[in-house]
Amino acid sequence: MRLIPRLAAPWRLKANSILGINGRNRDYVAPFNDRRFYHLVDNKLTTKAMALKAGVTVPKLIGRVDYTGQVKTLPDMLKNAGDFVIKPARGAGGGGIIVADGVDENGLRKASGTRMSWAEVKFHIQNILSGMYSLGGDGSDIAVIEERLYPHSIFKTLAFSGVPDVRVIVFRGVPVMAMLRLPTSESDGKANLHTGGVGVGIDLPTGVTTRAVQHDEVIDKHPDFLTPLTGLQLPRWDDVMALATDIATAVPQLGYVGVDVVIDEVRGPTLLELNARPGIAVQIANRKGLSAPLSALARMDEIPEGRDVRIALAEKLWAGSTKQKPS
Amino acid sequence: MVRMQILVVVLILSAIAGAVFAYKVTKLGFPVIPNQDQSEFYVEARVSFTGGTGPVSVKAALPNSAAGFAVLETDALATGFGLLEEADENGNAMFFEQRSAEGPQTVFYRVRGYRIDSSNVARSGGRAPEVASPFATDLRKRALRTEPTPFLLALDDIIELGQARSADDRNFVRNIALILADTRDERVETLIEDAVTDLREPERLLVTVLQAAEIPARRVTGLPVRIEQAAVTPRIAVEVYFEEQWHRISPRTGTVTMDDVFIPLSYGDAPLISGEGTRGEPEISFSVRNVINDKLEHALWTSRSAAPIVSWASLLSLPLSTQIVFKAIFLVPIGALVIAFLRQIVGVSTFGTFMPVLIALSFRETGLLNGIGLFVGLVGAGLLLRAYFSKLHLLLVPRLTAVLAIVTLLMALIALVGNAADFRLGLSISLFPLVILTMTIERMSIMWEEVGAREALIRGAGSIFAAIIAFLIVSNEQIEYLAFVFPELLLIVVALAVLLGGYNGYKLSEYLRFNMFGQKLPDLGDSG
Repeated sequence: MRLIPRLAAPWRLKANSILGINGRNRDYVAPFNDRRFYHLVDNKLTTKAMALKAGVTVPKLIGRVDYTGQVKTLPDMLKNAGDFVIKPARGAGGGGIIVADGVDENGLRKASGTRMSWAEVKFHIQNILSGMYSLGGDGSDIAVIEERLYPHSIFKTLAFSGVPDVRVIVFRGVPVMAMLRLPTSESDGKANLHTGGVGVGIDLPTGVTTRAVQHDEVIDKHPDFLTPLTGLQLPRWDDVMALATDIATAVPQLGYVGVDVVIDEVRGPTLLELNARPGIAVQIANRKGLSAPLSALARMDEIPEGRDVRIALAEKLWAGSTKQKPS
Repeated sequence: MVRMQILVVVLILSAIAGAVFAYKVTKLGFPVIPNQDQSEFYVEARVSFTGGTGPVSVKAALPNSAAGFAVLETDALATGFGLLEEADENGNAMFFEQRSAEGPQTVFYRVRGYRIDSSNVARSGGRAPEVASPFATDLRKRALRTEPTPFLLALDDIIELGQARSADDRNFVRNIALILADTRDERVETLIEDAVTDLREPERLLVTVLQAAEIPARRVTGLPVRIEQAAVTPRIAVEVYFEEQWHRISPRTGTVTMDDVFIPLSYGDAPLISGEGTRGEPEISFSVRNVINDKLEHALWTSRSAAPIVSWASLLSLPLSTQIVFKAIFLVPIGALVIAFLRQIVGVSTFGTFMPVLIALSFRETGLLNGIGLFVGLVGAGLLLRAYFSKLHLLLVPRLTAVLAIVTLLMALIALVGNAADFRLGLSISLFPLVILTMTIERMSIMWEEVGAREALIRGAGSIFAAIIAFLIVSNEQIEYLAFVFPELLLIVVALAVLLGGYNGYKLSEYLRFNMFGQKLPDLGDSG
């Protein structure tokens, strides 16, 4: 840490097309995201329903608990479920999630190896229902039980104990930038950047990783495994791009979204959730500004239809912003 | 398009505010700088009663000039009532009279007074006031000879004891007060129990005894004034005449009190308010306000004829208690603007927008250092508590309730300790936003668990920092004065807020966050 922080020269940020929070909110979130449709992304159940309609892969829903009385039915519901995840429908910051290997008459086995009695499970679900882990709101929520995802084997030595995901920023149905988010021991298995997760920039057309940052500082090895983080080809990248394009096209009312995708070993790219106010740290991981592609898209009267056309447009914009000269 | 609209809105708002401001300053002569002289103030009384069917006459006590306080002028706001000022042995009074005033009525009077340094007051030098007591020395002695009653015996005993112990009047008064303060004394008990009139009140008892000893003494009801106050409760005091001057003395110790200004309203036993032809008893309440500015009062006076709308729309025409509330309320938007600036332009992260504003306003009551100490202490205690409740796996809403209740108790405790240690924090604590504190504790601990201690502490520190900056601005006297006397300037606050809302540039903090983009990017090519 420097004693006197180094500041970027004021004109440089603009010349490098960096998007600030005020710019994001005023120029993209406010005009392109209709608040009335935020519930589509804030609630995982609605997101799931919408994704299924759009033909996008999502984790299979095993069951849901809407009110306390239903908790009794859990042992029966989960008897043959195999492994599964319990999470709050409107969860914030990854809180309240239980990953389980399976159940027996005494309770469930967590993926970490510890056990939870049925009483403990019921208490946890009551907490979810009381809104303990949920975004603001009215203090109530629904517990969602869904299929557990297995990150692709390439992530064995890249992700510490949690699930890594790819965050794709999509604007008006066109992917503009993406970042791989890796959990670390410091981030406590969460792929969240400000808790100490690692962000890895991705070359959008090819899906090859370019550079990695932790706490906004450049690193070249994973802090836990010491595996190299750059030059990796992410598996099934074309499908990630297709999924991001499809789901964003299905919610045109939310023009500026972050699409969180898990690359599952078996099912391939699977939609985890959508975010209507994605952060701007993706620029640091990619060492690239968002303003150029976003403003180019904002200026277009109409975005051409069709997944392939849009992905081609995304690649063109990516190349354009790479060659673009700062002026 | 949107940009144009923002510009137009900002220009229109600024133009309106500027025009009204300029008119008030140049044409009506409203001063832009507050009066520094704190020696003048207003006493305002609000009199309310319900009129009966017949004629109504309500008599309200008026402030009297006295040592430390001089009445400059009196005026009243009582449409339809005939006004009459009169002075009798109880002091000045104002009569509100009307042939018929059925139903609930509210009238006001206000008195402009001047604070005098009482040590500089010249001795009156006149003759001592005459005392007429049924127990005066010769009357008493005669009665004792013919038919001694326990009351007279006790009275005589006390007076002689007091005289034996003292050389002058000042000492005598002190000794009598000390004797009377001991209510277990048999003689004092007899005095209180056998008196014809009710002497349980210490003030009345002291006055009766002093008068019997032919020392001029009177009971007085008045207003103790220390600072500006929305509501002042009248108190009873004792005044005794010796060394050619009236002195206010404490009935418990017999010493002369001269700490704060005491505005006498009524001498003797007359009530502060009485009425004929009213249904039920009339009521009176008092408030005290510093005179903001002589020129301002004058400007308001002129505007009554020149521009009635300005005078009507001026907050200075509201009742004093409402004015004092508005003084604080007008600072809220200004504080919010400061927070908006810090968040949008500087990039300070805080918990919510209005929490720092409310903290800043409560700093106005507690003082800055006390306030920061209170805030950090209460939030810290709350965080520990909340961590414990979280271990018990309590559900959200009951947990918040428990934290809230305990924070309330902690405040009560601090108030009690503060009172014992003579900190004047009592009132300010009650204004400290309790719910805001609890929500801060809850949000901070959730952030602590989910995002980490670092982010939670950054936000907590950011909130305090923002509150301090906002406090420095809202505690400025000039700003408070401008906001209160020129409320149209709030339109400028709106304009600035609209401008801030339209800002899509970088925050100062982002120059730090994105410092890796401070150079030409190597992969962005060559020219710059």
